[in-house]
Order: sequence, then C-alpha cells, then structure tokens
Amino acid sequence: MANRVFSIIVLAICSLFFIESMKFSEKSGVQTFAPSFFPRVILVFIAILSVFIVIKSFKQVDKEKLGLLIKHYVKEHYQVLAVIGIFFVYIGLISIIGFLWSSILFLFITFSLLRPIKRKALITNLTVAIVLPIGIQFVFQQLLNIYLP
Amino acid sequence: MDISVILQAFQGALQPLMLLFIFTGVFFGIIAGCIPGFTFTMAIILAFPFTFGMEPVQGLALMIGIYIGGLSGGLISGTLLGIPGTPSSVVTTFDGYPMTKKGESARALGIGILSSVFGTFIGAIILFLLGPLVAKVSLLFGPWEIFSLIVFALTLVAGLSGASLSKGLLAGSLGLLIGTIGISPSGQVRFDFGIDQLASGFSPIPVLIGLFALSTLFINIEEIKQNMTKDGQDISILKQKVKIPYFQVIKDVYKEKWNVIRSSVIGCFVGCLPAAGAESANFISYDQAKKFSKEKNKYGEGHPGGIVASESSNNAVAGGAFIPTITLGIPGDVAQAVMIGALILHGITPGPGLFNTQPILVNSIYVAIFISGIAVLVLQTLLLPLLTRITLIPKTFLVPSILFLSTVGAFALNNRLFDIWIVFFFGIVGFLLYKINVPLSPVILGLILGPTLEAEMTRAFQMNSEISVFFTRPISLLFLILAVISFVVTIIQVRKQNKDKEQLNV
Repeated sequence: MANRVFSIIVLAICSLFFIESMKFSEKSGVQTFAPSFFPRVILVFIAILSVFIVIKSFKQVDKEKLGLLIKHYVKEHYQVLAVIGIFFVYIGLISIIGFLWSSILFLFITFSLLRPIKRKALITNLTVAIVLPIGIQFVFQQLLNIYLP
Repeated sequence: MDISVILQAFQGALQPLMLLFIFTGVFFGIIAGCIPGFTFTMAIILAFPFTFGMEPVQGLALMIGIYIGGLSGGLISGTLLGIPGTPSSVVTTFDGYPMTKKGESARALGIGILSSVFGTFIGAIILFLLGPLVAKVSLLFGPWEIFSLIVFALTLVAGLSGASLSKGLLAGSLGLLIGTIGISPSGQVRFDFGIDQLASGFSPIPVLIGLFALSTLFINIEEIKQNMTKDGQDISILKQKVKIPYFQVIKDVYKEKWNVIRSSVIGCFVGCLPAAGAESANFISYDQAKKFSKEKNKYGEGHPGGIVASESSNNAVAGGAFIPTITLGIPGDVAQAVMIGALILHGITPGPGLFNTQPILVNSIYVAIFISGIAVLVLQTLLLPLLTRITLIPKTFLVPSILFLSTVGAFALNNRLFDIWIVFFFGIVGFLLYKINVPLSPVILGLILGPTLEAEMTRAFQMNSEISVFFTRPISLLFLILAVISFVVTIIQVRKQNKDKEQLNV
C-alpha cells in the first residue's frame, strides 16, 4: 500500500516536471538536443518504473492498513514529528532573531523534549544549549571567517 | 613512476599541521564510529565546512582521517556490547562479542585494531599500484566511454544498495532528475518553478546533508525511545579497565596472516564498486575466511579469524573506494562523494587527468591513508579506556547538537539561508524514502553524476550524430554489457532471496 501511494506521488511529480519542461522544449539552431530532451528521457524512465511498482503492489497482500500504520507511528514516535516541527520553526527564526538566539532556543527545547524532565537535567540542558552555539559561532567567525546570520 | 613526487607528498604530509589534521580526523572518526547509529559518513559531512579555510590537501587529509578512523571505530561497541557501531562492523560482532562473553574482550579489541591497521595499509598499497594504471586507461576515454561507464555505475548502485531493483533504479533516476534542475548544458534554466534560488540548481552537499544526516538523526530519535523502554542492558563492561595482551594479539594476527591479506584484497575490490562499501565487504570476507579455515565450526563462537576478516576488509575498503573517485570522478560511496565535493570547492575536479595535473595531491592521498592507519593504531590503543566510555554519551544530547551543526554546515557552504531549507526538505524526503525501503545512495550518485552524464551525452552526439558509436567502441560496449549483466544478476539474486524468504516463512 505504501509502495502504491509512493509511486502515485512520484508519477504526480513526474507530470509536474513534464508540464514544466514544455517551457523550454524548443530546440534552437545549433543545439544537438533540446534542453528538455535529457530530463524527458529520465521522466519516461521514472514513469515506467513507478507503474511497474504500482502493478507489483497489487500482487502483494497487505497485512495492515497504511492509515493504521501511520496512526500507530504518530502515537509511538510523536517525538520525531515534534523535532521536525521544531526544526522547521528554528530555520524560520534564524532570519528573524538571528543565529545565536534561535540556536540556543532550538537546542534547549529539543534537549528538554528528548530527555526526562528533571530539575538537574534542565540545568545541564541549558548549559550545553548556550555553550555549543557560542563556541561554534566563535570558531566560524574567528578561525574560519564565516559569518553566521 | 616519479619518485620525487612521492617524496614531496611525504614531505608535505609529515609537517606538524598535516599530522595534526590527520590525527584529529582519525580521533573524531573513531568516536563517530564507536557510537552506534552515527557513522563516519555523518562525521565527514559535519567536517565539511571546516575544510573551507584549509588547503585542499589539508582538508582532504582531515576527511581521510575521519574515514579511516570511522571504518575502524565501529569495532569497539561491536566487540564490547554486541551492537555494531557502524554498519561495516556488523560482522565483527559475530566473533567479537562471543569473545567478550568468554572474558577475552581485550584480546578481541586488540585483534580488531591490528587487523584494521593492516587492512588500511594493504588497501593503500593496492591503491598506490592500481590507481595510476586505471588513470592511464581512463585518459583514453571519450565521451562515449564515460557515458557508458556512468550508466554502468548507476545500474550497479541500484542493484547493490537495496532489496528491490526497481526501487534502486527509481532512486537513481530521481537523483538524475534532481540533477537536471538548474542550468542545462546549453545554458537554459530548467525546472526553477518560479523560485529564483532554484535557477542555479542544487549544490549536492546540502541535499546530501539532508538525505543522509538528517534522515539518520530522525531515525535515531526513534531509537532513543526504544532504548528507554528496553533499559537494563549490561553496560558495566564499558567501565571496566581493558588491557590489551599485545603479545597474544600479535600471535593471533600472525596466525591469520593469509586471512588478513585475502580479506584486505576482497575489501579493496569491493570498495572499488560504487556504493558497495564496507557493509558488503566484511560479509564477503567473513564468508571466505570461514571457507578457507580449518576450524570452520568455531567461527561465530569467538574465533579470532572472524574479527580479522571483518576488520581488515572494512578498512581496506578505503583504499579501493579512492580508485574510482580519483581516476574516474565516480565516488565509491557517500563519504567519497563529500570528499569530491570538497575538492571541487577548491577548484580541483577529480577524474581522468587528475594524476597529471595534481600529482602531489594524488600521492598525498596514499600517504594520508597510510598515516591514518598508524594513527588508528596509536589512538585506539592509547585512548581505549576513554573511547569505551564515549559510547555512553546520551543520544538525547547528540541528536539535537548534530542537527544544529548540520544546519551551520549547510549555511556556511554558500552563505545562503535557502540551503538550510534544502537540507530540511531533503531530510524529510530521505526519512520518508528510508521508511518505504527506497535506498538513498543511488539518489546521491544520480545527482552527482547526472550533469556529467548529460554533458558527455551531448558531447558524444556533437562529435558524431550516430548512436551506434556507443556500441562499436570496445570499452564503451564493455561497460554497457557490464551494465546489462549487473541488471540481470540483480534480478536473479532478488528472486532467489525472495524464494528463500518464502521457504523460511513456510
């Protein structure tokens, strides 16, 4: 089932790329190939493979339903999704409040999320969350001459 | 062969700063190797931004150090806990862990370390002897040969890297497709979807950080939870003092000398194949060592030969993996892909001709591998007590810290915030692909080789508009035939595996 969904998504992406390739499909004068030639060869190949996987997926009998699997996963591993979400916010924050502050926040929150919450642990979390970004910023700006936002 | 170039390379490598880089690299490589779930590949990716400010040779030396250290470091947790530190030390646990249970952990560690060192040396020697030969041949390659070679490499990777050939091929093609985003060989912008930053295409490194580092980190978070629930594994052994019985170890390894050589040669040649890295080399060598051994039934119960086979072969992979990288520009594995990225950043393009344009750099690679071998021996024996404790660092600290470091690394590459978004996007893509068993290394290889593939194809047809040339030039034909063979062999193998599985289920 997962394979089927995957192939259908891939096919959708393929068609999106194919439509986009119309924009530069013209071959001009001396060119050996139109710029769209090579991508289209790949797209056809991908489409054939995806269809093959879809057909194969009908032969296999699924023991569990995809929806149930996802539900189970979310329940069991909500932390993974939480970290992905926090990471997303973090990248967004970098351009607003700067690299240093957003990194400290990001590290502290994810440490606290992943470790059992205890008072002592929170203090270590905070220390590491502050020391690491400052250290990295120092190394990058002073030694490598790379300025972080 | 020009001896003076080799001497110059040695001279360059023996400078204090270079030695420092190599030893630092090996140290961090070993650490990355001993922590289960983290690999040297990730360590090399993290080291990448630090190489910007270095000379190309220095940056390469640092990465080679991490590479060799990481290939060896997996043996520590593999031997002591039975949990392989890296996929390449899975086989080490077969005999290393039983030896620990018998109370011979120090002896097992010693054998592992010494075999790693010999494996590294033999791999470097083979690279030294074969590299220039392959490079000479590769100078004869026209666009037809390079095109066919890349096609061969891609089919090989697709077949070797996963259980399903169709998914492997699909992954490779997706990589190729991502590679077409940006400017085409004729100068036209393709697939920018109206986003300005996409007009210049993806640089492979942020994609690589996302696909590999981020997805691995997400998977690690899952494991944190699992470890919490299944606590109580005996880790007291990590806190014990280990003293390696040196004399015994040397005797053990000497007894297995043919095993060392055989396994190293196997490791080196497996390393040459794109994407068939250390993970497969140690299985093949173990199998062969068992076949040749007089004490077959003792393998798997704590036989030194098992550790020798595994550890010498996985370190010899390093020498082998460099052969296609520096002679043809085709990375042997993801770690090599990062190193290619580092070289390109410094304006050096690996491939045919590198031996002529950068003879000292090429020779420095051999020397750096060699010195890394020595560093593995020194650091791993001296710091063993420290290293066994490192496996205890909680992942709850490591995962967020490495997420943070990869963000910095991605940004530092081009000073673009957009690259961090690329990392994020491909992190999720990689995670999802991993979940549905689509192998990731073909994606990377496709992305890196795609532009070359297209450029060579265009060049071939500009020189001669006949498609038949691909089949009439012998070397080109050979690669195409090999591609078909690898395709057919994989299909047969997958069939056989599925049958075996069905029989097991019945």
